[in-house]
Amino acid sequence: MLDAIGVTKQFGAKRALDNVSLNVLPGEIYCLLGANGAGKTTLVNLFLNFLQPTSGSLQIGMIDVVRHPLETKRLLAYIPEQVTLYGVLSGLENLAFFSSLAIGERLPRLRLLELLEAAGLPREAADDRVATYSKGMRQKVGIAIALAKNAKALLLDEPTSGLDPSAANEFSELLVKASNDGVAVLTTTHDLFHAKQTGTRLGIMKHGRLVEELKSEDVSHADLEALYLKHMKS
Amino acid sequence: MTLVKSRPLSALSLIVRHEARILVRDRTLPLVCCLLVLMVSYGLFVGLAQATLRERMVAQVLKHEQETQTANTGTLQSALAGRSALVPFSNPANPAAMAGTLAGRFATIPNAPLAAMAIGQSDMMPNYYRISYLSKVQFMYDTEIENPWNLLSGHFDLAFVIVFVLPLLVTTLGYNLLSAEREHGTLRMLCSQPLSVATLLTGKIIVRMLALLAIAVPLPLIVLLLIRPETRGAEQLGLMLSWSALITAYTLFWFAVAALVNATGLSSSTNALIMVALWTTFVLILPVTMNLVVGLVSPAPSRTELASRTRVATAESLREFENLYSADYRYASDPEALLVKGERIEVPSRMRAFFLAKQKVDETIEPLLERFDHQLLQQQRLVDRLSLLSPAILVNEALNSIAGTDSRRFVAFKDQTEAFHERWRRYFSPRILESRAMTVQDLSSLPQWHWIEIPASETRSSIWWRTALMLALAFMVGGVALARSSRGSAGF
Repeated sequence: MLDAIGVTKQFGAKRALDNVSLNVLPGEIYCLLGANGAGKTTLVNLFLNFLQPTSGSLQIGMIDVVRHPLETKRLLAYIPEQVTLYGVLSGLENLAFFSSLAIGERLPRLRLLELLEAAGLPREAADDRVATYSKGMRQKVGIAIALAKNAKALLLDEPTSGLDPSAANEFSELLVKASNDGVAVLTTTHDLFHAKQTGTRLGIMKHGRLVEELKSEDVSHADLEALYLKHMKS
Repeated sequence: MTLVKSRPLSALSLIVRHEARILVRDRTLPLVCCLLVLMVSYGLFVGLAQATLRERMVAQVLKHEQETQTANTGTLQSALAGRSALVPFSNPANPAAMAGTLAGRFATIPNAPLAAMAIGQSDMMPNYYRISYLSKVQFMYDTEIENPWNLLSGHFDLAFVIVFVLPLLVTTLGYNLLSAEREHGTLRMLCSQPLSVATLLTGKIIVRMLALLAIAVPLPLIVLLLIRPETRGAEQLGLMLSWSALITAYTLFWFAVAALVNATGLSSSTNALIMVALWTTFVLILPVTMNLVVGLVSPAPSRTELASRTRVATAESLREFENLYSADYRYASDPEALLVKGERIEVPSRMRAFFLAKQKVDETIEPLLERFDHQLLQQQRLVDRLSLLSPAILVNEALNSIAGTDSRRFVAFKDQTEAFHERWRRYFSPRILESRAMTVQDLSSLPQWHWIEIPASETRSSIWWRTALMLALAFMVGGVALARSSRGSAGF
């Protein structure tokens, strides 16, 4: 569903991505690990067509991202590290707007409330202005937007960063549920524990290259940590 | 996987509704709109006050002309019937006195129906001339055509609000079209949806533009239609349509500039600085620079030269007719000399000399006046050509054309007045030279002034090509902005 084929991205003299190829199948949760500056977010930005590759190609559902950006975005939901919404609107209004934009039709209020509830936002907070929300609450509205889209692929850029353990756990559960529904999930993270727990496949990036790819079930928590540290030190 | 075609219209309408809600919620739009209502109202009030003042001036002048004619007729009838005596310099039977100032004839230019929309050159140029046998240099060349950009900083009228203030309000609403979304982080959220930056930018501009135009266009038109019946004609409605199109094009141009600035991906504060710099350049610096260029390339005709040459010509004429300048004040001692004898009257030789001398001055000075007018015309042409470089001047000139306060109308008034002055002289010349007394019938058939309006087709074409140019400019800048933003220059 999510395919990067020999992708290289150059920023001037700096090579942010170096011939990266990966593919995430429907129902898979692919966790990209790596230090800051390893190229994880660059890859996410390329899938979103916020950046264009210097060489190689990216496809979502076999559709080229660069040539058909709007079509590929219909298949994709994205949750950034910081879900930023319109502070002057309520959580419900934000969800209504973004979901309308995503699916091209306005969902009824009841459905919107269900989505917020499914994402874990208390019903009584739905009509409060987002300016009064905590980071976790905004993140939940972001999840609700992604759920409303009913996307085939999910892109997550360090989604649990800054969330409390309980919220992070709830989030992981949602990811698992999404993958069970056949959604292809690509998430970047620093959290080895959650990666191992929720991911079906793991990739380690270093200096713009995908240096390791393994199945989650093939490795223990301790082995993953050791492997990760080995790559970071080498 | 099959391709699902995008629905840009649906996304655009969503953005438009969403933007309207955001702008209303954060109170930016209501504040800007209130400010615009106040300024448009005040600008229109100033224009209406100026137009009313000029109407009153013309009405007073025409009233004075009517009263003078009635008084002259009465005096002449009374004198001919022997009921009263004549006074030497107020003798309506004397053609030289009538040709001078006694007839009290004026050439006047009425306000165009939409005069309140722009004061333009109307506060610089006279709207009436007192016609007499005096040299035209004496009553027509003591003012000059002002370059249009000199007037840009004039009254706070509706044209000032449109040309100066509207771009500033566009800047207020448009400097952070994309940069604010980027800085708040919502741009990434928005663009992760099936929405192009170009659609986002277009939607944002539509809302802001509609809000400004919903005030700037209908408010003055409704007020004028309500309180000025002369604006309700088909031609005026056509001009109002042109006015609306022009303002829409000008507003679109400034929003296109804002879009281009936003497409560079710079911060909101930098964008604001760039926008203010561009406003200063287009609205202030360019006009002043062009003024300097015009002054250098086609300098204004020398008033000193004209005044000196006129003095020399007057002195020479007086010398030529000095034998006629014998002081003939014998009317005081011999009132009989004032009387009409048969169809004749004794025109005092001093008056005759004065008439001839002034005619001579005009003949002598004519080549210089022609050069003077030619130079002014050249300057105006250069102004027209250079105005293409500044949207502000382009629009200001077109607004003045619509309001009938542009230089072309005043030049036409001057030309028609010159022709009338010539007719006036020709009418009196044989009467003065042959000492033919004015009759009551003559007084009612003196040459009449009629203002001939410049052809509406000329005005329309001058407005429409400016509007078309403005639109072309707006679409060009807007096109570049959308292309840049589509290429990802907006910076995520």
